[in-house]
Amino acid sequence: MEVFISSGLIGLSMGAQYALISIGFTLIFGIMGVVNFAHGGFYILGGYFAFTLTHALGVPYVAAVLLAMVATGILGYVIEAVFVEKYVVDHLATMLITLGIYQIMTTGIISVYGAEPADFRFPISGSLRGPGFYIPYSNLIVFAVCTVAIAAVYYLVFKTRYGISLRAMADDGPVARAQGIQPAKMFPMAFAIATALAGLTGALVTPMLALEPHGGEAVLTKAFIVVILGGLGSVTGAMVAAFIVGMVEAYSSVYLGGSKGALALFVLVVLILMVRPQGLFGTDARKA
Amino acid sequence: MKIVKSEKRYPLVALLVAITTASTAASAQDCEVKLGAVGPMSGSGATYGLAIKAGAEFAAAMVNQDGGLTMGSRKCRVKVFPVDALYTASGGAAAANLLASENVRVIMGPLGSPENAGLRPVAKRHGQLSFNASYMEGAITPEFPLAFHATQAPQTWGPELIKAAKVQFKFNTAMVVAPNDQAGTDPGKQLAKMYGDVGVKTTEEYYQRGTTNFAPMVTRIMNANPDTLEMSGVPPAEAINLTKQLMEAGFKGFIGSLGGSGSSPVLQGAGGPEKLKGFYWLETSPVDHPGILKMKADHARVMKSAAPENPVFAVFALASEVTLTAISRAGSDQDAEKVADALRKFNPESRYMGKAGWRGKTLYGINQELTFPVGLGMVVDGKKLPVRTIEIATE
Repeated sequence: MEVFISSGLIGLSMGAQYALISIGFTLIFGIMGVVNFAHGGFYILGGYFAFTLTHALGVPYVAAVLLAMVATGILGYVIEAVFVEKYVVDHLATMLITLGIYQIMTTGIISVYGAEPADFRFPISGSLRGPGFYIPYSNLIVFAVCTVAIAAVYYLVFKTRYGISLRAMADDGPVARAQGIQPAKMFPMAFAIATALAGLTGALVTPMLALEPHGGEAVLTKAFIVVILGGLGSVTGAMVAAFIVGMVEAYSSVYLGGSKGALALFVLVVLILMVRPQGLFGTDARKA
Repeated sequence: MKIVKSEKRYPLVALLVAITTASTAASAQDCEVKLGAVGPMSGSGATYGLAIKAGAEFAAAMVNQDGGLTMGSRKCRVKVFPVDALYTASGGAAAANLLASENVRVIMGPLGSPENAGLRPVAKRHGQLSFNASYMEGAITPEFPLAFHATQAPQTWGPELIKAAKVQFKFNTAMVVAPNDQAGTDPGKQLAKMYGDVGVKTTEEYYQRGTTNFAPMVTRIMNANPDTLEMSGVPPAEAINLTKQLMEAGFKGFIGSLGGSGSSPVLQGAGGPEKLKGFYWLETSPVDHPGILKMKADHARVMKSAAPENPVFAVFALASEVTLTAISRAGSDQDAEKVADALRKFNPESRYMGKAGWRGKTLYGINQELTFPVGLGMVVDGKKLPVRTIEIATE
């Protein structure tokens, strides 16, 4: 029973992390139609920004996380405005541009910080223990922050005029433009929000796991799985799918072992997509 | 005959001297010995590949500070060509191809078993000699006569080290943890058998390489509750992470690292030796040996930086020193057969570790494995003991 409870707690924690990283990814695709291959790079940059601020400049961790989020948001805004905006209707071009930007990011990180992982630790250690189970305090804190961030994004996308405009662009671009919504103003900001979320996740999660230059690749793979399972462009779908992926991964890894656990996740995703190729919330959530 | 007046001769003489000096200098600069360095230089195994590169560059620098490597009647500068093989078979194959395009015929590395599996058939085609540090079964074989082994595999030092650890820590159950590819399963299975041979009930647990969130695996480990956890095949970055998460979960058992990472990853992950009840590890070079300490002091002096902590650095510094001696004796860095022949014909010797030998005939069918000693380190009740030197017999 204790193992069952522990696995559930692990799954929830992983799900929250996946949700935060995937929401930004699906937001960019839904609104702009851009598959951002640099998304994992922003995650890792968020980690390295926070690491540099805390270790080199002595900035308190909380402030470092917030600054890392702002920095990756600003960088995302600039990258979209300068490199992506011009080719936003050409999906292949934007894929290649964002892939190139990811390569530049990782090479830049290696040249500044080296190829080896950085020694970046969560400022709070120890675990909350119950009868037969435990959860590290870092996981609890990250889970709480992720939940608040997800709620904030949900509020932004569904309750504000800006969010309504974003969803209008995602739903029907030409009609939205005809109504006076200007893509040149919406897109860089949307990109910035997405990259800020990735940077926030990186700053929070890399001290618990690992901070190394190529760490964004595994994150991007997970984001892809979550977003495709949830339905491309669906924020609600990404959130639900993230927790499904987190729970399946946790339980299958604990009960079946590391190798079989990964296989179980992919089998489940394939089965779901065979039944619903558009993803769990592919159509419904976008019209919500 | 017109006689050149003396005041006009001096400029002529000066010109002739300048031409002669310039052409001599041009010959030394034109003469280069090429040495490849292949290993994982990014990702969780980056520590290994960068240590291979550092070992080769150090050996090259020690030779270059004396004017270069003696090649017949002249001295040639040694240049190292590093290539990241990404811990994959395709990376190893690509590294061999890339180095062949640069006319590099002698390669230090690779380290990863997949890298070695990918590199050596391509290297054989290109006529390249390699010095790997892989733990794969058949790390060297008569099928690849130009492949040498820079360090010994678990079958050689494993039984002695496991026995010494069992005597110290008195464990009865063990779990071997490793990535689920050849680089993890080959040594994992070897070590599981060795633990079993000394009466330790052993299970094996494999995970996807590149995992950062070990929480599910840690839950499995805590549930199984082994007396000792063997992390041989776990690469350094993942070992740091796994140890950190084990400590958070309250793991109270012993930890073994009979692989190539040394002690640093586990000690870093734990937060210091004082946090560990018991820890035992292989040093692929005995880091407290006076020769290795001298090597590190020389590295600081010549390279103007501290030597990498990972013991793979010393393995490849020694292997590179031996290889450069062989290249000098062969008189060529382009004829790998001649270099291999030179290697086989002499007893390897290092200015730091003295004389060594070759072994491998019994285990691999080919006597091309270096026998420089290894080390066994231990932390007992929070205290780090000096690393014990373990001599390796030649065949």
